[in-house]
Amino acid sequence: MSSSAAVADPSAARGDQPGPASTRGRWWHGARNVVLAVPVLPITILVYVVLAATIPGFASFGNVQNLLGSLAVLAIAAVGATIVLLVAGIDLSVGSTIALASVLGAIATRDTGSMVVGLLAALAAGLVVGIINGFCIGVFGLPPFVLTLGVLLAARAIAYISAAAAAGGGGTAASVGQLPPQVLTFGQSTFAAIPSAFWIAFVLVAAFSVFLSFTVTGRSFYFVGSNEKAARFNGLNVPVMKFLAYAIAGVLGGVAGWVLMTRLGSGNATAGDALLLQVIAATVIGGTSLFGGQGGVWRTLVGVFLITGLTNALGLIGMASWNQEIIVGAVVIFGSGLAVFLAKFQARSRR
Amino acid sequence: MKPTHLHLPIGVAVAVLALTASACGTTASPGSSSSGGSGGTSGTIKVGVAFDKMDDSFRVGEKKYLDQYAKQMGIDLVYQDAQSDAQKQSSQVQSFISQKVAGIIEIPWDTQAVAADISAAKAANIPLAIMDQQPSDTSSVYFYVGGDPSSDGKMAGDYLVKSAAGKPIKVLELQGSLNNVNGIERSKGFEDAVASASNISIVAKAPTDWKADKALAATQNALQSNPDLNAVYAPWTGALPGIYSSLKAAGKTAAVADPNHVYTMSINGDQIGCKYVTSGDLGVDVATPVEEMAKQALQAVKDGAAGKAPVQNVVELPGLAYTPADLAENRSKVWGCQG
Repeated sequence: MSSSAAVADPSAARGDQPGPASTRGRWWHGARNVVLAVPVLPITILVYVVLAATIPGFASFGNVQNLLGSLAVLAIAAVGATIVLLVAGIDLSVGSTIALASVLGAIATRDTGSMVVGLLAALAAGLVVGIINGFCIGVFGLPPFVLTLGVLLAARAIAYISAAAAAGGGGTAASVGQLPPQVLTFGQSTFAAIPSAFWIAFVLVAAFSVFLSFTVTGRSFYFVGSNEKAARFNGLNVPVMKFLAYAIAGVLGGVAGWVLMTRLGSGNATAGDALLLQVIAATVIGGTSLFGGQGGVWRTLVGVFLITGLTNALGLIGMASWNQEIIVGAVVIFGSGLAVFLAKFQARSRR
Repeated sequence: MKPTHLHLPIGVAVAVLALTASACGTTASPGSSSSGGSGGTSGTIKVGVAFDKMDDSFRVGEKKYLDQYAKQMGIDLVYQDAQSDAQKQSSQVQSFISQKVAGIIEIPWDTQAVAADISAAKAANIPLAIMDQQPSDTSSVYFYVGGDPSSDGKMAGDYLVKSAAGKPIKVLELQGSLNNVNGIERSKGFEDAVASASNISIVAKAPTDWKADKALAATQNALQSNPDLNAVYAPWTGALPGIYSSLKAAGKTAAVADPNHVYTMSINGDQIGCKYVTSGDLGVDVATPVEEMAKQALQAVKDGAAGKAPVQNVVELPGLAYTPADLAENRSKVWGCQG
């Protein structure tokens, strides 16, 4: 390559940066950045468009409101799960944390008549679970799968016992009710026609996205997850980072439990049993790696939209729940088969 | 280099597209052919049915009668199963409301959270009939029809008192799930009925969440700690197979006339109950009037869709106690013995 040729074409040397005067180029550049950040977004949008066009009632105002409100709890919990996955951990206790937080929050709200006290109780419950997880896994180094499984069982049992005690009759009780009416009013309320529950989820996703991308602590999560040894050698306090991840996930579980309580108007000890797998599915489908170091909360939110949109649409065409699950299962299996095929194809074409 | 973990989500999304396209190309299921809205095929109205769970013989019976009477009344039913999840049920009911169905029938999983569904349906002017599980607060309910668990439990208790006739009885009381009225009242009704009989003592009490495996474990434990146990009360017939296998394993299968006979009492009136009453194993089964429940629920939403309010908001239908002795005359009235 003669030097004159290299100098003559500096834009080629700069690579793909568009010329500063081209607004169309800037738009394209921005869109490209969005797709790089959330690769599943364009396909999810396409899926929604297809569903809206083919399924009657999917795009109706009422259904969209229903959809946004019902995915809020899952989205909030999935943000916490994302952070834990980023540090290459796993939190199986998220469902039970939600149940415990909703029960304790309901008891506090019922007994004091104040929603704020209920929120604090739910947050405290989530924080305690998160601290226990974080300590045992981050500081003592216990394996995350086993530890959070134990916490799952314990937290759920405590939720049941608390609900039974609150019901006052002895034996098992699964929900705590008789909450002041403003709880349900808030849970079903909308702001600018969008359910409040969804706004809470959206604000949390945005806040944690900023935290993860623009703060040193946030970016350290990625580092710890992708290469723990290197992170340690670089001076990062890995035990503290892991502790923080699980603690955050616990608090977010508490928030999700409180939001669930406001949506249902009761604290529910049975909540969260099915939620755990949905949380993990949404997070992984969104594009966060199970092995740590890669992913993000916007990706998770899109994953939540994809799963919830699918089950909502299938429900609208009257498909029974078990058939819905066959479809979702088939989608995940087919999708992962396709993924393996794509990876092999790409590896072969790179050679 | 493209991160490989993204292949999964992209693959999944493509699969979703493909399956959606093919699923919508063919008619997926009975509810899909009609467009959303209260009109179904000409002359029929569309009613959404939100079950709390389907993995129960009682629910199967309820569905059978709902289908039967809906066809007679010109109602198209769309079923949803909440799989024992309160949020799922709430979302499914909301879905029905946004589809503007003519009416909704719900068997609530969470009898506290159902208040949200009741107010949402009221706000949307859609008649919501609650069936089988009484909401904790019935003050604003449009219509509720269910069994009378308290009197059902009492009938089972009265049978034991009468059959024992003064003999000392040690009874294991299995309880359903204590977070709904059916479980609580069936237990209380039984206990009240046997309280007055000094020869009967409840030596073991176990909540089972209406789960057969818990009933089996509880029966085995009770037989261990009380070898001279001679009565078992199961508030639902689903527990019976487990109970009888435990009794057989403990060698307690003596017939009625035998002093070692173990008295068993149950409630539901489904196929399982009918089978055991026919064979003489089950002393008494209290049949809940499922047929009447389904009919009244459907009638209430049909009337509501036409603008008529139901005569009575809360209807509790008494059960029918039948024993091996009077099986012949009662057989036709027990839903589990039909077909």
